[in-house]
Amino acid sequence: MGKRKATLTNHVRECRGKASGMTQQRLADLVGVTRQTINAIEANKYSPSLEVAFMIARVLEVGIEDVFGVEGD
Amino acid sequence: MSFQEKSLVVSLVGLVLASGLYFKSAITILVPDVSVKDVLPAQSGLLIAATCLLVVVIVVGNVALALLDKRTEADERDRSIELRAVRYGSYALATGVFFSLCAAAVTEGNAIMAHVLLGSWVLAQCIETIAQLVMYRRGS
Repeated sequence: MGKRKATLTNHVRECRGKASGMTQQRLADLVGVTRQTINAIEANKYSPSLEVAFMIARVLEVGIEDVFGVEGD
Repeated sequence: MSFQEKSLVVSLVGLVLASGLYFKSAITILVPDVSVKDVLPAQSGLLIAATCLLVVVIVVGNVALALLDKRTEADERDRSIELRAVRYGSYALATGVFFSLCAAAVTEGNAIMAHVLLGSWVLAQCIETIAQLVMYRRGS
């Protein structure tokens, strides 16, 4: 049986847009990370820790499954 | 460019400047005068001057950056990038330690061994800093 490959996907950019067009910097300040980290998450180049993922969902006032998901077999 | 990236550039410039000046002067002492076998006292003054230059460049540079940039805190991504870069640098340092032990075994005095060790530390720091800058630029 081969190793399963899964990729973390996210809708942070879309959720920011729905949250009155919140900027990356504003979201970063509220979550407690840098703007560059939010940018890397949105570009799917960095997978955040559970703590940061939950904080993003809380700040955007959505469920974590609405922001983050897993793609793959 | 984030504060961390600017700080890394300052550290790299300081390191290249200080180590470049030190090794340039050390080689001009060591190469023509093969009788110099020990680092002390021949190059102690040079080493102290290079260390002072490195400290001054890093401290002054980082203070200036902190005054210009309001956001200086590192987050989990910065720490993750730093940890991965330290691992790359450690390979160069471990290799350098091995070669410095070889130099200690085959050369007289401590001059060659000390310079191989110092050179490998400088190389390890450069690799660590460049790896961090590359990872920041790639967004990883």
